[in-house]
Amino acid sequence: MIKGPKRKSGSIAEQVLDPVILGKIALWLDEAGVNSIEIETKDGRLVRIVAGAGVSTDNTDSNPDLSVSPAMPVKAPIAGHFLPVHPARDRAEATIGAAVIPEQIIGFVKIGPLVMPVRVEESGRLEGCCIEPEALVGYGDTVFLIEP
Amino acid sequence: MISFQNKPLSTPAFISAVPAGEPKISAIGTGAYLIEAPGAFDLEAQRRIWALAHAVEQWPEVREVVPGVTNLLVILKRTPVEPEQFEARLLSEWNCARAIDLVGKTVEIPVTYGGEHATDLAAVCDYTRLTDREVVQLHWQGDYTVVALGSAPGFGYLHGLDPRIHTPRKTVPSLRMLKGTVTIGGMQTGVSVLTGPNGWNSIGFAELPMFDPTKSPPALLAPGDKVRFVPERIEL
Amino acid sequence: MIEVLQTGPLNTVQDLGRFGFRNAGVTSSGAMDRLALTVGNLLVGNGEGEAALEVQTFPFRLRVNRDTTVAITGADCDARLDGGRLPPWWAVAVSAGQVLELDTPQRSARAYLSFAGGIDVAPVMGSRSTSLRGGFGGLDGRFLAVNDRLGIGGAGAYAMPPGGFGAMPPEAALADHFPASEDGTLLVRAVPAGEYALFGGEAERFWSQTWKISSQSDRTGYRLSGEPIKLASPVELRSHGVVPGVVQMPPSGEPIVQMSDANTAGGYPKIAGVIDIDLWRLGQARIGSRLRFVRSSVAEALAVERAVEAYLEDIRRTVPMLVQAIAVMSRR
Repeated sequence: MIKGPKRKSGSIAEQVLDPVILGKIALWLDEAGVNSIEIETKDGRLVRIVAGAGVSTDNTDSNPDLSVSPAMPVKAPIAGHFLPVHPARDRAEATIGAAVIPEQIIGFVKIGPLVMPVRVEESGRLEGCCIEPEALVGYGDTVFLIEP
Repeated sequence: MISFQNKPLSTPAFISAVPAGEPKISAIGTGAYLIEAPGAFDLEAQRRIWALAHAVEQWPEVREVVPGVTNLLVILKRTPVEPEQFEARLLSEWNCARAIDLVGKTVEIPVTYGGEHATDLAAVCDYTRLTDREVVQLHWQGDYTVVALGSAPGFGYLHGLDPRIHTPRKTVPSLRMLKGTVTIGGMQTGVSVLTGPNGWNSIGFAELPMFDPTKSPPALLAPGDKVRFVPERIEL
Repeated sequence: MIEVLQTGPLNTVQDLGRFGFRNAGVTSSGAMDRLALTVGNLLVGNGEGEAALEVQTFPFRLRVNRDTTVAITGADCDARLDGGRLPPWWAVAVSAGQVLELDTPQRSARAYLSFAGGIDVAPVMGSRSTSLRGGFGGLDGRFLAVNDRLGIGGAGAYAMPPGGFGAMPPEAALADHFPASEDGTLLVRAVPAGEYALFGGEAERFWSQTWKISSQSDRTGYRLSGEPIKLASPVELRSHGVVPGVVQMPPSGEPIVQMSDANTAGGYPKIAGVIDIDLWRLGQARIGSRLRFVRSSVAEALAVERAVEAYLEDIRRTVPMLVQAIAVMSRR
């Protein structure tokens, strides 16, 4: 079930709403055990993709920003299971209190058989981790906080 | 570094033959089966192995077959779901396999007998109680059949060595025997294809390349081929 | 093009192996950890049989001379790209001029570097694997040396997400199917082979004792040390074909497990054969480490094979989806 503009080639919003892509994402969410993800398009619409079910769009920006800390958030690059430690390693990539630099990988999100990096964008000190190991995170959820 | 890399070619003191009657079928791991012909070594059994190899290599589940000395290793593409059934098919194929005489080519190998590479010729003379001339003559007068290829790229196990010059392999292998060395190991003879450790007895040297990876087929010899050694020079 | 800046001996170009010439005495060669090579290729969008670098001597350093994608799988060698740390089992875009470094791993023996398009060396007898013994295949049939330059194949690089992405390592994804022992001893599943019965009561000790991988071990085979297991009277067989995984018992009574560069023929009694699907784990076992053989069955091997195939299929299917989804999201 797809709502929204008819498919035309070109614009990002339309590509996001491409039923083929949406179908694939929904299938893969289902397999990853994730219920839904929300994607905010350039024109401010929110696309919610529900595993196995399909997609709904919302023209109001209803996504509340829960991050009120002065610290900078490090966000999840994708929806999946948060892994603070790489599955092949014993120790985390960065410990709380450590200095971190841009592009440094400090955590992971597991999506099915794959692993995506959680990366630092701005230098600072790693203040804390907001997500329990193995817990589900959504795209853009704050995973770590960094004190600039 | 690796002492067993070029393990001396086997001509063991104690050969365990499969008793007469049924062949022995055994598995190696989950994807390979070895079928060993019953009874003592003879060319008749070898010809039947070749026939079996020709039949089995056509089977769709078979990746490759490796004929050995009166035995055949069958390597499968994947682990069989019904291993017993596969073994039964192998056995029934053996039972209807008729010995075939491979119409092989005849390969003439020019040899320098004696000389600097024949470091074990004296030991062969001692063991056989023959003179060096007699050993060399018995060797080049022989008609040989390539029984199997193996152990190293293009190495042919040759059958047909005169029993008077059968010589057991050395207890202490030569550490660096040159590729091309003509050797005797027990009842077999051959031309080494790699420079390295070797437990067979060297009696001469051949320049003819036995293996070229850029050629098709890469090996000069094939099972069933006839080999004649041509004494190019005799340095005694 | 990639350029080797630092290497020890025995690092080679390998693919999944050279088949069809065993009857001419040609060993199959190929990666010691075929699973790591396969996953590395899948992560960079290659066919699974493309050639990669097998690195088993460290440190290893190379520079890429064109933009491409690289995956590092197998042993965790604390890889660094221009000094920035990369996680293990990871694929990342690299730009011309960047330097990739691998350090000695703490666990496991071999790392694989797969490049989009594969290592472009000429196939010999249907494979790009290096046959060190035969002196052909790979890069002129030899191991890599400093200043070697290797081409990489077609342009087929994925648009990678920033920072790259990785695969769940098989040890983690397939933990249920590759059990670990409590004391860290590697458990290797095997089935009895041709001459097993000749060892009589002695055979029990083959399974019960812990064997150590001796320093005389390499891609050809592993020599194990432990309490010898001997036959009442020595036996050798007529020369017959052998395959990687065969466990031979030479007169010394200490087993030899033939590996990727296995001799094609042998005559020692065979006590067992490692199940194919466990060979990659043995390929990652280090000299000096310990292992125990666990008696297995074809049925068990099939179940494990199915699990591994499902894991690979999952990666095969998910990589393009992930890359596509990331591309869409990053264009917001």
